[in-house]
Amino acid sequence: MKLKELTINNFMPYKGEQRVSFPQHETQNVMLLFGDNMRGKTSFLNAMRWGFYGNAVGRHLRVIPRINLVNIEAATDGDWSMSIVLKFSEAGKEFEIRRRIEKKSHVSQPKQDADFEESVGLRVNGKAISGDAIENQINQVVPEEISRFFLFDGELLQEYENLLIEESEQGDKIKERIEQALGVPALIHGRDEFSNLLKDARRIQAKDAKKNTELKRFAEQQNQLEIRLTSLKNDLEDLLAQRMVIEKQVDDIDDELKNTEAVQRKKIELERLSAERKAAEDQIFNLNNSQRELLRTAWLDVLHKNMSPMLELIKTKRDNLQAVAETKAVLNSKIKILQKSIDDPTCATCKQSIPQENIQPIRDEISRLRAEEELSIYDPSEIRVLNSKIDRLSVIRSAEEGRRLRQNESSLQKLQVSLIRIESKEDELQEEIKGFDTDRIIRQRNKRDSLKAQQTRLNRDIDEIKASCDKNNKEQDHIATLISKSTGGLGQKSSIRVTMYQELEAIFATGIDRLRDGLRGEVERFATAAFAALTTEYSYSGLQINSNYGLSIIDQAGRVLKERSAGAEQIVALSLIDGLNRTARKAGPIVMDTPLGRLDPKHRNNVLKYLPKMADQVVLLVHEGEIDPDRDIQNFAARIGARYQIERISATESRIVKSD
Amino acid sequence: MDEPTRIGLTAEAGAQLEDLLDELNPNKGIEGIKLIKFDLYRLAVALGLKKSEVAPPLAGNSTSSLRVSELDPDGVLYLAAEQSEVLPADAPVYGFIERLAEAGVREFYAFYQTTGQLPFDQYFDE
Repeated sequence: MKLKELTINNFMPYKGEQRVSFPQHETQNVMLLFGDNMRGKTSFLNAMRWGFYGNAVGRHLRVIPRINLVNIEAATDGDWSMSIVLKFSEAGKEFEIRRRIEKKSHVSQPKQDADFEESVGLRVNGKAISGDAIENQINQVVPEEISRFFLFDGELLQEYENLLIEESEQGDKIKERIEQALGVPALIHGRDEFSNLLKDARRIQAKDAKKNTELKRFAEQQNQLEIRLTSLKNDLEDLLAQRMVIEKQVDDIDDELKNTEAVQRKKIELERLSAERKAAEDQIFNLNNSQRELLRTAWLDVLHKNMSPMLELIKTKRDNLQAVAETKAVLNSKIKILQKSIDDPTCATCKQSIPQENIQPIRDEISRLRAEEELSIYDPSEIRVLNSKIDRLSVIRSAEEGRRLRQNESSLQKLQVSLIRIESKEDELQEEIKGFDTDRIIRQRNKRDSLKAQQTRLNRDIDEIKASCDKNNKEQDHIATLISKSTGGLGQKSSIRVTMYQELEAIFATGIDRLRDGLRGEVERFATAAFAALTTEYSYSGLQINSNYGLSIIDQAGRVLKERSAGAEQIVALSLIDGLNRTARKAGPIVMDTPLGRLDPKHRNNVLKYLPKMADQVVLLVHEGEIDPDRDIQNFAARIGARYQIERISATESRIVKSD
Repeated sequence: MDEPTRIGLTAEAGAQLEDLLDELNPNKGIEGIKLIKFDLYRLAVALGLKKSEVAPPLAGNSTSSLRVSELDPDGVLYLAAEQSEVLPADAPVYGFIERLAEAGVREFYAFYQTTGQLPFDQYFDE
């Protein structure tokens, strides 16, 4: 099957008519549709699903109500109609499906599915197919059972991890769908049919046996077992219904809690920011205090720097004057000593007289010293004035207030910027968590715990009832065999029929097991080949499939890898999808929504190289975080047949445009 | 030359000084170090002396609200102003100081009004 064209009208975020043509080239078989989160990638996938099968699914595979399928903007404008036209080819035939819903004319404001009228039309090679044959025809070409593997939501990849958990409820559901895609139900239905026929045959046999005195006892036992079986099955149905209700409640709470996990994280972040803000505010307060303290004496720092040169000048002047005073004193002292020696020329120690010829040089020296002394002029009061000035100017001391004020100011500015950043982040987070009730989150957690406990009890009861049903069946079979082999029953038509159905049921049961084993082997082989192409770890030897179609990674020593990264999970899940797609009854195009979300660049590269080989047509719905439109595309540019972009018009409206 | 015993600012600059103190000091009821008029007045004079520019006479009457003995108890401002090269020959030193304060406070106020802060980088450049 090859997709040709999709025309969307008023579907979810797509208001008005929007058309997408799929690549038809044999090697340029990849179509890329880029779109940010919340813009409408999953809605695009759902548009295709709804076009084919008339249902669109949300999380946990819940069907989206019709009222939510019609574009809100169009509905506000009074247009309550929505339609999808899908053109595709299969085995040389051209198909065109037109599916449309419209508000019933008597309904003013639709509230439920029944308020809409659905119409569907199918043309094969231009010829209209009659209404009752349409769904059957579509399912022959594109069976809904396999839609999960070609209309594939990558965000559901995680669900495939549940396949590894034996007896997990979700794993059972997925297993059921896998088997539907692989064709196992044909045999299961056959076995169930024979099981019903056997039940009827046993009843008739019991009725016949009632007429025989020898077998009357067996007939009575068989009746009792039949009544018991009916009762067990009724109980089982009740319990399964109860479990379904609880599962839905748990899923709903899980969805809500998943959203609130982000709220919890944001609350913690808010508390951290609040502490950071408080610390910044305290620092700002302390710095402002310090600034004021410094401002009080900053004038002294300014004067100190201003007056320092002058102070030095005054000090030098004072020192010079003091030096003159000292010189004058020394000269006076010398003059006094010399004058004394002239006035009394006898030596005080040796009592000898200074010779007359030596007196004149002393007189000359005194004259020279006097001349020098007369040149050393100073005013002692000037020194006093200078000293007084020095004392007053020395009061001007600097504590480096200016430098510290500048430093503090710079720190303050940084802190102010940081505070603004913190406050705006706080505002953003407050806005994001506005309207969330944290008490409700706790209540919902408790409710979930209680529901899970109920679910466990129900599972145990269901298992017990199933075991009782099996036991009952075996007992019924045993009694039926006893009747068949008894003299009274032997050769009886009803006994022959019972034996025949018992054998046929056993044949089909064996067939189911063999088919499952064979299919699992096929899936494992294809998935292992895909895994080898996708993984970057060469020490892995392959994948091993379990009874649930879950895949384990096997290392070179044949051991199962216990811990797997999120990226490895995604690679394994993609390998499984490829394996299933190749094993399925019908291969089709692959439309994948967000397939590369958790992959590192190397794995992403491998996946991008491998995806074009997975099917004749591959449609990837991606955001730019998954595939860089410039870098990643180079690796498989030759395989791209078409590129589209989802453009945001508003929160409730998007448009698909072709890009180069 | 007779020196005044009280000096101050014009009414306008006085109001600006009050506004500045309101802006720079913590809000009412909040603990913390507080500035008083003398602090900014002395800083304005010191910065005026540093600039060594002739300060214009006061545009109006001075409020004479500050006692010189309290503003300049050690005569440090007087001494520094006395050494200034731009000290007018026929004016009292404290009159000169008053002019410097008036010009300085007006400048503080103008800066604060424009930028929300005082230009410490400019005032205290190395």
